Amino acid sequence: MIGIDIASIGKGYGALRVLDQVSASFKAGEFTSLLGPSGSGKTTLLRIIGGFIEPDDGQIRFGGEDVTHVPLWRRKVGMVFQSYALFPHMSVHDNVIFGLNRQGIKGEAARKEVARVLEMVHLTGFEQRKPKQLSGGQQQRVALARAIVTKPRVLLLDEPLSALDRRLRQDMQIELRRIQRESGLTTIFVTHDQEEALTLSDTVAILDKGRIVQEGAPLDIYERPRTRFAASFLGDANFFMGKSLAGGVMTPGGVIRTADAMPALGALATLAVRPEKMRLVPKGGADPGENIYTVTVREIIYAGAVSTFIGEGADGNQVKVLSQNRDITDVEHGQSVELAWSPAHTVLVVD
Amino acid sequence: MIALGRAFLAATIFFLYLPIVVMVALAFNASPLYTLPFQLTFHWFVVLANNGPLLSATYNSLLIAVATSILATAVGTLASLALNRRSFRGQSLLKVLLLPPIAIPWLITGTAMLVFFFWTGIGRGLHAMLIGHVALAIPYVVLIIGTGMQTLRADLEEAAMSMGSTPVHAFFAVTLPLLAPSIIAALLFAFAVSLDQFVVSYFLATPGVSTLPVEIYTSIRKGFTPEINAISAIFLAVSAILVLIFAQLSNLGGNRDRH
Amino acid sequence: MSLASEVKTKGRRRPSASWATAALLTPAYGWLTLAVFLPLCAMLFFSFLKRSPIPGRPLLFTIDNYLAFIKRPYLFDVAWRSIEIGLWTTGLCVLVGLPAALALARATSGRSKHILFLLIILPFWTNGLVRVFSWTMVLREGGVLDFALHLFMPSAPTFSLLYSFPAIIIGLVHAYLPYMVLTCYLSASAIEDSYIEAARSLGARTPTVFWKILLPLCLPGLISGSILIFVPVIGSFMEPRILGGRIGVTMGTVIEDQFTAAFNWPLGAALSFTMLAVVLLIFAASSRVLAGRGTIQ
Repeated sequence: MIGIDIASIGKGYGALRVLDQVSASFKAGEFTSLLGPSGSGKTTLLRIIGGFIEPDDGQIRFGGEDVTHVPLWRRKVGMVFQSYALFPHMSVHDNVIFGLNRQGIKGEAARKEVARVLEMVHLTGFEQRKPKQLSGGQQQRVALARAIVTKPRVLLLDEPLSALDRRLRQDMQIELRRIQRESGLTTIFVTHDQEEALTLSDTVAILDKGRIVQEGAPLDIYERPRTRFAASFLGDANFFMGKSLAGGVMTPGGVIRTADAMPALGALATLAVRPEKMRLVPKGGADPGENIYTVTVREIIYAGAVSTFIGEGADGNQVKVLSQNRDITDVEHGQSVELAWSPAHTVLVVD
Repeated sequence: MIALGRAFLAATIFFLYLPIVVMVALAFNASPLYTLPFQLTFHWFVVLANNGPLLSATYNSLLIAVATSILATAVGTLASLALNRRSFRGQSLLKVLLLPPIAIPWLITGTAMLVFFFWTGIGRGLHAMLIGHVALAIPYVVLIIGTGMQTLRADLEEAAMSMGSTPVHAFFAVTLPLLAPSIIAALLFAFAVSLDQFVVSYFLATPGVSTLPVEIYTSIRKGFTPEINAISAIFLAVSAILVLIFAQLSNLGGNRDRH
Repeated sequence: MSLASEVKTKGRRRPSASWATAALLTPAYGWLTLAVFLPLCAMLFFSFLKRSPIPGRPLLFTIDNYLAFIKRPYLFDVAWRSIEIGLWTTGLCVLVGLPAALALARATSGRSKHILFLLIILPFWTNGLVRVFSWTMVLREGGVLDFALHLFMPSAPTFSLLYSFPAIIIGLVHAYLPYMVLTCYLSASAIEDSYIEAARSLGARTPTVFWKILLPLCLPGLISGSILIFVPVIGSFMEPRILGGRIGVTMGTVIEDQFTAAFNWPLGAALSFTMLAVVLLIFAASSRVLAGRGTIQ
């Protein structure tokens, strides 16, 4: 188990800067997700760490050893491709044993290792099948087995679950986590699906336009996003903008208070609140100390267990509220309601 | 409407095969003057077996075809790898340069070769014909291998390298085996191109050293004899078999079910 | 993007990538240079000589050979005859090839389509000379055509189509028809059923469907097929000689004569290059037309 460190990685193609001064530490044995929209550079970063691409600037260290200029075939990484990249002319067994043979492990010892990982991915008995005889989920597991059998220093996964349907995807997420914990490999996982990132990872790094915008444990970055992008990409967020005062901002709908320390007073600031932190209250029904904001209900989206209310504030500001349907409230379109939430749930974000 | 279409198609195929069938049939006909009625015999095939010039021309054709096939495929595969892998400056130009051997009428290419080989002392004969045939086959090989490479995914070699293969090893372990059907198809195609080549061979032949099509031509100029039919029938059968194997390998006109 | 190109974009590794590429390309392009490009240059050089070079004699230069059409007016007739043959052949190939291709694409399916396609392509890959030869069997005196005629009209005189203009055309159409069927088939098979259904639902009947939908969509195939046929045909000498005999005189046979009989290589070279210029013009014009239609060939 080793940790990966990257320092000031930069990469550009022509005039386009794909990665800019990216630095991070991936702790040994942990599952880290690189989360971001397409074009954010997350796949490029993964490929640079793996050695598929050389960075323009920066350094990569595996357990303290500088591998920036070590070629791919000597870097000892395990990669699971989005398209699985199983060798079509080889059986499952030959696919998995490929890396072992390259390491000089042959014969009985190699076969034992192959059997071990195939068992880990629940594919014992599939040795002689060819890739085209396997389902998508099975191919995915062979790709995973092939990547981990050589006990690589880091396991890299490039959106491996995106080709699977929803049910299978959820099953594979659980499998993937189990296998990762069993093998103890330092894992870096690229995805654009924030739900996937939150459920699988020990650490999530959010990327936007070639930079890491925020990283931390799922709970931390979800509850306390640092930028507007982080707040809106990971889950939903409501934003309140206005001149900053001590303890809050002044908006046309009133003062919105926050428990965060406000910086430069008088400057324009943005506060973010998650939809599930707000609740609809009857007039005057808010608790003391809570933020109160009046909206006109524009949309009600009923989804069984939860309902989403979309309301419009005084200045046209759209606010979304996510509410558990413990008791059904009779709110109507066009009705004026008050929203209440705690200042502790109000987060200062930068643009 | 569909029935009309099928009838037309049938008529077209009839037109295409009529003379061929007639020619093959007459190879088995006893009359030396091609007169009917039809009498079955293998006589002409026996005469053929004793026709020295035709036989040596056949031997030359096969020899050159095999050599062309191997050389053109080897050389063309290397070029195709470079043209279809990475993009580089001048790539489109190089691809366009492959067109002249096919696009320019063989009359012009053939006479040009005659002129140049005479001038540089390469002369005429089997070696000259080999040079010419390979040049004509190369564009086809590049095209066939190129098409085969389109279905090859670049990430397979990457996957091999991520598991410890050097680029060279990855090529031999992954790319080459997957290209094998295309290479075989190219070999067959080059073989057929050489075997059927007349015009260029005609200009580069010398009296006594020629290929089968050239020999047939000179025999026709002298007068028709049925052993020409016999050798032509054999020739057609061989070409047909080659084409069928090639079609099988590359799923011509059918579905492509590789992924 | 391929790993190899990625790994090598940093300055350190770039030289080896270019060397590798150059090494891969040299055998093929070297061969083509030796066998095609240099010979064409040599022939260009020859076309400016006064007479075929003989060792020991000095080289004399002239542009007379390019003025051959003026010096020898009969060449105009020959050139015109070649073009005539080209137009007839191409025209008939269109008339037969397009309907056949449409029928293959739309009136057949599955296994039979596959088999019919192979049947049409097969003669194409057998030896052209042998196929021309086979036509002599059919067309000559005492040949199949003659025989069939006499079955119906026993008192008719012996019939031979050999050594005539129609014979040349028949032989050429037979040889080049598969080109047209192939290119038109490629265009026709891209025509979705839904286009035709849409047209019919708007009230179009078969002739309209053909002229307004099928034909325009097959136009790229028709054009490329026509080029593939016209260019080799105007340079052909094998079919005119064998099927046309004495009247089979074309640019192709004249050029061939210069090299094999008359030993006037410079004239032959000049005539070849004149023909090459015409060919290149045709390619340039057609690629412009095809590009204008948004088709990538």
